[in-house]
Amino acid sequence: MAKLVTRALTVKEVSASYARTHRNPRFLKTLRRYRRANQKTRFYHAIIDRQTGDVIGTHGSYYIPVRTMTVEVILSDLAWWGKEVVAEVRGALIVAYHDSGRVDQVTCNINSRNFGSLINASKLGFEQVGVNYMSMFDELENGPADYITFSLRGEALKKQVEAYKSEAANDAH
Amino acid sequence: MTPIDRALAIVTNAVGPRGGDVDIEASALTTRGWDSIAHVNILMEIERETGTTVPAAMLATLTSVAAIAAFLEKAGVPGSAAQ
Repeated sequence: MAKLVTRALTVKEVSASYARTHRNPRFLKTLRRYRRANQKTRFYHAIIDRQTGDVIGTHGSYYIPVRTMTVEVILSDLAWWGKEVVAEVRGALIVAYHDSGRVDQVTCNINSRNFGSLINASKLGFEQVGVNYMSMFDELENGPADYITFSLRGEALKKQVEAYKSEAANDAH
Repeated sequence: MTPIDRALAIVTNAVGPRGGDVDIEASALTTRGWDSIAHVNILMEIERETGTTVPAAMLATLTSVAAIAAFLEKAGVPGSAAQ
């Protein structure tokens, strides 16, 4: 059974997530990028530990014309790092976006020094399609950061969707 | 020690016992324990070893022992029998 649950983030959870983020400077930059969900083209999901009910992070998704969804994960509970949360959450959302019939491509932009997220994207079948040099300011490094753009589309997207569905079906039995 | 030996050592050390026997064919997709935390350690060790910052355009390609060995060889590390 999946260890996590995702659903729309509530106002209360946004506050809790903010508070947790404020306590850790590593996540301060994410606050500046946060945009309120409109449930049409911008979504924010809470990532919840099924056992405890705690919000351990958030997952943002933004629709970019045409037929592209860009995704980002903020895992604010460090105890969950390295436990394949990103793979589980992103996998489930990719299936949902694909099955909506409105998305042909999923993309993500990852700080090139965020090595853990780079491997997560690769494992989910994302292909590196470009590098945006010095495209954001990195508060931790106090300097410009390069961002790598990944894309999941076409056959690779279908393959990933099938793999995730198959895995979910096996877990259910 | 050849670049392949060094790459094997870096990956084996990072993935720990969960990774089992890591060989030249190993990649992040096929190796247990090659998770995000292990990958952070692998890339940091590569940068420490080469004394350089891996170019952003190359970072996403270093997901297998063979790719890491090729990168180490290109960077001129280690290639020394004394190591």
